[in-house]
Amino acid sequence: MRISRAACFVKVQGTVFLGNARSAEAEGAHEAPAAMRTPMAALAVACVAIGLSAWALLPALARGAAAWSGLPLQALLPAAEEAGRTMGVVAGGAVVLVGTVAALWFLRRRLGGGVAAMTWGCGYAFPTPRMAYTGSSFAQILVRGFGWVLFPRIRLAPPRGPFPKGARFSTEPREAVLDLALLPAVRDYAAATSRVRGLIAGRLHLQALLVLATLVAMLAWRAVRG
Amino acid sequence: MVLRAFFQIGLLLLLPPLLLGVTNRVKSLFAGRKGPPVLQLYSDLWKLLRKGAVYSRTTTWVFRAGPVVGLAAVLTAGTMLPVAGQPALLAFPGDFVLFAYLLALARFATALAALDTGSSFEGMGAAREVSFSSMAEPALFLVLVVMARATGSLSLSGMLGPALAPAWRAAAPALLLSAIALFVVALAENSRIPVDDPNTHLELTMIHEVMVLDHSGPDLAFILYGASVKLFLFGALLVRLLADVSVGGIWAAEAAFVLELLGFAILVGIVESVMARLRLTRVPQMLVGASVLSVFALVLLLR
Repeated sequence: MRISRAACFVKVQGTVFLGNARSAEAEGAHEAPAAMRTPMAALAVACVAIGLSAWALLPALARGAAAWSGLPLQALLPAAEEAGRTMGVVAGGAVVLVGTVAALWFLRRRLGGGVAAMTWGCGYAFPTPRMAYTGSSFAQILVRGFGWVLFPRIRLAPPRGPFPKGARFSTEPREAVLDLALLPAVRDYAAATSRVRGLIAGRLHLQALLVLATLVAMLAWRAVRG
Repeated sequence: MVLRAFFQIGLLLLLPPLLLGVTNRVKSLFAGRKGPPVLQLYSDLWKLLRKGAVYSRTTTWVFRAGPVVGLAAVLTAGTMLPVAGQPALLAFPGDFVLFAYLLALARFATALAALDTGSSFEGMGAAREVSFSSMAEPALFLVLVVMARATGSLSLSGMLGPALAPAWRAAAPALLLSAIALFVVALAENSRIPVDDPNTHLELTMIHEVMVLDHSGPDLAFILYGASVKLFLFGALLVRLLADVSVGGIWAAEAAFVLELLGFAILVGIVESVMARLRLTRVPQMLVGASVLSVFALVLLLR
């Protein structure tokens, strides 16, 4: 779901990069050097170029696919050209979006800058990172709402007394398939097989009997299947 | 053709603030007040555009980019919406997915700008906004899928074009259910009562408004204008779904479209006047209810 993904990226980017630094290490963080940023920028530019020129690339890809697969070009080219035309309109939409952003950015700069002040807010006279939303608090509504599928691990230490020393809240969604189904199943299987191995470990006659029994079972199965 | 394109762009750019003005006037009439003029938002926007802005020292370019990207995204989405039975300026199969993604992009940019302030209030607003939107999204997509199935088109221009009238004759109950779901989604996505109160002054009860507390001057103007454009988009989607105005001359259809949009704004005002805001814990239930309505509509179409 697009909004769920957007919520995830907002959470990650917001808690890692935005607002006040949440630790001393983060306070000293700095931008990576140009040598690290340039390859990323080149890859991003290549992605944008492919996206904007898909209308031209798709027919060429169809010719390549026809030559590689041996299929007649007429079977692939019309569909590729049709998809290419659609991708051309999509690229037009991207150009409209980027052009509108550029125009509004230019307009905003023409309208003048601003003055620096403190973040607005009741009780925000002395901002500290402890006031900022954490990843767990940001995702709390979604994690609680979808708790029936996320099976979150929730750790809550609420503030107690008139002058509480501290409080803590964290949620940790678990992989429903991996953590709750696959890994326990694999662990149980490993435990069962290790018990069987314990029975035959160091007993050569039992191992030979097991091999023989397996061979007989396979021959019997083959005989039954014809 | 060019004249019609200019008219559509002009409608998209100029009409949206009027809708909010009409809604606010209706609310004032219900409350027994005279209320602000219907053109009040135009004055507010003009005033804000000439004011200076205040930026928190915590913020970065992400905060400044939020209003710009948010407004650009909803304006681009507006080019995909057909007006008065005419094809949209930008149409292709599957454009409804991009339409929904652009609305999500606007929300993404606004939520990031909110988190950039470091304020717990705006973090709270961003968390609520993206959480409730996650629940409104299935309903919106299901409504669009119902429209696509009923009209046999994957483009908004096709869904809301000449194929819509035969679709109403063949599948009126399904389209009516999806229209109701779409109205609920429109109220939620535009932060209107019963989901959110745009006039509230209590931060703890806010959803959308608390996200934009730190914006001022031209940035706030962009945000307010973007919110009105978004209301226009959902209104246009709903009135095109409910009322086929492609018959008659082009200009008569355009005039009818504008009148229907004003009717939508009046309906929003009436809902806000006669309903109280839901408790935050009830909002997901309402949004899930809209999704269930859309699923019923889809089942009716697939049976």
